[in-house]
Amino acid sequence: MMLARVADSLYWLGRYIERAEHLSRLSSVMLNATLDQTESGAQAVWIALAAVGEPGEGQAIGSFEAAQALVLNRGDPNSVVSSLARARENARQVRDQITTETWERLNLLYLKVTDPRAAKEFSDGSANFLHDVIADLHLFKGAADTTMSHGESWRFMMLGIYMERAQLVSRLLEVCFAEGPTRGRVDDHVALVSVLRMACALEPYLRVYTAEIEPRHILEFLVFDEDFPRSIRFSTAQIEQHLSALARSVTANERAGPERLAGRLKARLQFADVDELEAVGAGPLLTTVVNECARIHEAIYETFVAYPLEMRLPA
Amino acid sequence: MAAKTQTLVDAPTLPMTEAAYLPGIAYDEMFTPEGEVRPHYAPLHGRMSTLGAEELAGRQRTLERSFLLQGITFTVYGAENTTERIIPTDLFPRIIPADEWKRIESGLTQRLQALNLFLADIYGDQQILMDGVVPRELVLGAPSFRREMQHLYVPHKAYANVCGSDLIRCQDGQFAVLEDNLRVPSGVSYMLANRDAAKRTFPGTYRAAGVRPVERYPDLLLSTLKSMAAEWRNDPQVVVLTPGVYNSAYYEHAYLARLMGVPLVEGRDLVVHENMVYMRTTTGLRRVDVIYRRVDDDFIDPLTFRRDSSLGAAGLFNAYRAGNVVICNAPGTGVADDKAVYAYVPEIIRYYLGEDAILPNIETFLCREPRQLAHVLDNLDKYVVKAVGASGGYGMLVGPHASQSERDAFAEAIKADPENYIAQPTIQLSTGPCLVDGRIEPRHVDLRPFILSGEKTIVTPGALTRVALKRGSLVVNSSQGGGSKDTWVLADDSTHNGQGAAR
Amino acid sequence: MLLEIRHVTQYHYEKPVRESLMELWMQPQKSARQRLVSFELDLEPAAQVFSYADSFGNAVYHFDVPQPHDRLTIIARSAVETEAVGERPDHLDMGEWDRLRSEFVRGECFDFLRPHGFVRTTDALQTFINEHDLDALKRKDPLTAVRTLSETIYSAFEYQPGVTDADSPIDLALSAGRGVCQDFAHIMLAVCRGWGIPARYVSGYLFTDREAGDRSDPDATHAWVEVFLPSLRWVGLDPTNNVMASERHVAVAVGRDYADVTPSRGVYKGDAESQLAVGVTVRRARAAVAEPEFLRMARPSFAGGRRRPDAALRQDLHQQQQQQQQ
Repeated sequence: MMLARVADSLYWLGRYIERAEHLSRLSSVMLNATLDQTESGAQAVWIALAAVGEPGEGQAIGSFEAAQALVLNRGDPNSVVSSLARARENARQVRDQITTETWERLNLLYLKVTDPRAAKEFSDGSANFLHDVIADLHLFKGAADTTMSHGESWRFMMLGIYMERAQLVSRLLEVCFAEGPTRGRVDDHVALVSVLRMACALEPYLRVYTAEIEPRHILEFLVFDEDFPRSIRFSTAQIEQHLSALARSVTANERAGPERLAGRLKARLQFADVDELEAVGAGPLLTTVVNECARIHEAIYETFVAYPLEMRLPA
Repeated sequence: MAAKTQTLVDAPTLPMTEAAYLPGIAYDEMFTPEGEVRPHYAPLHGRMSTLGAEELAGRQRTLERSFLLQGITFTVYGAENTTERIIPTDLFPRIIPADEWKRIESGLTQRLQALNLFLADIYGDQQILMDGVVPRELVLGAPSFRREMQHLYVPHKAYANVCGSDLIRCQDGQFAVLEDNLRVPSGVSYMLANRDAAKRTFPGTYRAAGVRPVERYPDLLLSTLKSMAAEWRNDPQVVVLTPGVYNSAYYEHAYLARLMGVPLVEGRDLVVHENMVYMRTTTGLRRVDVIYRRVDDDFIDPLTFRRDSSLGAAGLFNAYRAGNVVICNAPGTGVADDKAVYAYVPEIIRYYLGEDAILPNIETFLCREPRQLAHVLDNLDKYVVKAVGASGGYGMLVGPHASQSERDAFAEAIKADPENYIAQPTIQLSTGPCLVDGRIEPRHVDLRPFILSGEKTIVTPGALTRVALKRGSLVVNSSQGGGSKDTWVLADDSTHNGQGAAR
Repeated sequence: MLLEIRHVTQYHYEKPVRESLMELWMQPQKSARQRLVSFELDLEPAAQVFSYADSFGNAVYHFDVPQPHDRLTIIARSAVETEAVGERPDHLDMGEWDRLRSEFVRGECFDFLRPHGFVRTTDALQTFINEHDLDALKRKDPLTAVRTLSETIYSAFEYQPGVTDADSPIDLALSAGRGVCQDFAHIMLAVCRGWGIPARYVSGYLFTDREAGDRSDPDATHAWVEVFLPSLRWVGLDPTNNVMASERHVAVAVGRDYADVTPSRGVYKGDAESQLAVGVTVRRARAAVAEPEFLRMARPSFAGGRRRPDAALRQDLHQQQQQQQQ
């Protein structure tokens, strides 16, 4: 049993945490790529900015400035600092539901990125700064995993994390490979490595495919791998699993519940393979993932949060 | 000892002599007027003497950092950026010997019992008004009097389930009641957080002193709240109702909900259907039995009280009237902590309990009475004048510290609306040792203990000691630059008569 | 006199709203000269009805409608047997003023001796009092004083609906020189209380008799005043129609002012304007009780007040969700 509003806050807490981590990683990879004045560096910058919907920003204001804005601009609702502020605001709303250990990790990180000295720290050493932000977010997830009961609260938060992750990874892959693995805009080796880094996938990828960095393999790994926690298949399986557990306690509902939508998406990914992507391009499948996630999101609201009162009146 | 003192002189910190510490004319908690350390302070005093300025400053920083990290903060919304501030916390505990506490405890119990009986009476047959003990006008004419509460059944006649009275120690060393807070008193989370911090800062001294624990407050609060539920509701569902995350006491609301293990709800989480109160959960509506509300009367129900409130739940009061839910504290308790009714509390205690008040009041002049008004206006430089309806140190004149023009302006305000003002002599609150800018200096303190009242009345053996951090200031409210510190109530006075400092 | 009353209230919302909660002050009083034969409430949509007695002793009915609805209809049907007021003296002795000052009266009638809401002596009312030399009436006995006051208000104001509305302060009627029963009652209450005579607002119905000189609207609820005179207890005066409350007056509820006894008030969730239409029929019994001939549209607002903060909050949430979905 938990309050509908609380479930909503935990879900968004998860989403913002994941968003903050992803944005930090994009910025980090992007800044790293610009150290080499090469075409592949420019491609990496373009990928990162396109993945957040601002492909022209690098040329407009310079890549360091673009990265800094992506991290520290409080006026931009999609910056790392705004995401963290919203994550913390949601956490404050549910302060009684999350453990002190979990809260303190997030609060500490929030205080760090909103400190007046943060901008200077960032310009003095952006790599270290972003490394620490990502590490702190991992600490947060670790604290949540090891100190919170793996019940409803935790599941709503995890649901938010995986919903956000599935969509962010889909978006990144759409930018790179919408037309298919071989016809995509990204073919440069260094740029491809950057893509793997942006998905935090380089090391796990190498263990499976060795240092052969191929678009086809990248797609296969980031879309279909069953064990890699950032693949779309893994994320949708998690979404389905958390939703099934959460839906068990909800009284039967005539409408298609979110767990059924999630099951359908999971099945869609199980029955697809990389050959299909090669034939028709990755675009259609990735679009399906994004659209289905949006429908699941709606269904989560209708089932757990903003359900019509008359449907749930006590007998 | 001498060598240590030497180093401490180099690091100009420690009040080894009365001259260094410079208590004023007020009663000092640590030193007697002769400059002797009071026996119950001896162990702490000893410990203070062994810590250098650096060490103390370090511990102070650690303490503040831990408050910031835990989010025990209030938010200051600025034009440019939003900042989190902690309420300043002093690391030296304030110590109260067992025998003094015994008197405080019985005085507070007596007072709250009488005030609950008073509330039951004025919302019932109004005997006390008919007998002319308290002027009718004062009660029935008060904005905090809720006609809606008349003739409602309140279990155990416990209207004020949580009370946070403000006590002060006067120059003669006696404790007196300055204010009764019966509406939605706050600060208990600071009491608990300060205790947590003090245990980490002075573990040895704490252990040796034999301090009575306050950590049971959350479960005592929960059982008090549960004792208010209807008997036939097994395992009643208790919730804490908060105005929301932007309220300055939000941290405390979340803290209490978490420690009691009950949901923290906002008005929008509650639904009233067919005179029952439910909360919206992920799995449907769930019945609510007891609401520990931290929302003012006016805002709890837009159907019955303020129409424009979005902080409460529409229909809540009707459900309460029907006995289907309990609201704690009961609506309408504010009429008993009204600053003008305060003047009558000793009479109220005598009326209902046939006893003299154990804890005295501060002498109070009611400006509504023409003769008292004239006296107050003639002696504005001697009195503290307070607006009856205001709290938090607002709407207040401290006569001796005000300029002539401030006093003249306030006199006009009083004359325009005399019913709204009371006056009290300026009381020199007692002082206690505080760490200020690396030095230990005396600062004025008050005492806010918390009393729970349901089936039983329980005085928590501890309190929030509020500190006026500005030198010489007598205003301890956090909105006016006050801070707080832990309060140690000793279990037994015989165990420590100043025999050496504990490690 | 056996009277049947049909009181139809209809709220219409421009878009469906939900979680309506409503309170009704509609049941006629039970008193010595007024016997309540029957009282029924019909609600559409249907809802479970609850009741309680408010602090003035009025019966209040309330209910909630959780599901979305764009219309809410309340039909209150009552049958009441009223009795004519018995013989009353034309005037009292001057000692009545002293009796009014007794501790008992001041205690029992505390609320009805103080200004409240719209019942207060404003500058405009003071001007009115001076113009009509009303304070001179204090030299008469209290009964004569209040009767003359009622008569003065009757002649000084024109009865005209639409000039003022339910939320109008008395100054509006005072400056316009016209208004409806509610305004006249509030004005009379303020003067009486200023004199130290306990006075309360009465909401109810009038079986209108044009031949008796009634000028108030027969299709609306009515309001008048009761004053407390220790020798006579509560005495009803109707300044709108310049009569003492009679067997044609059916009292529903008493309070300090209109706001205490609004016939219907409520709150709902949803960002929609609402319109309120009310129709009242009062008939002698045994004649068939007809539907109200028409429903009068009040100004397009909700008597209970629209919950703007809630709407704003919803908008905030909505905006936040939009934002969060990015």
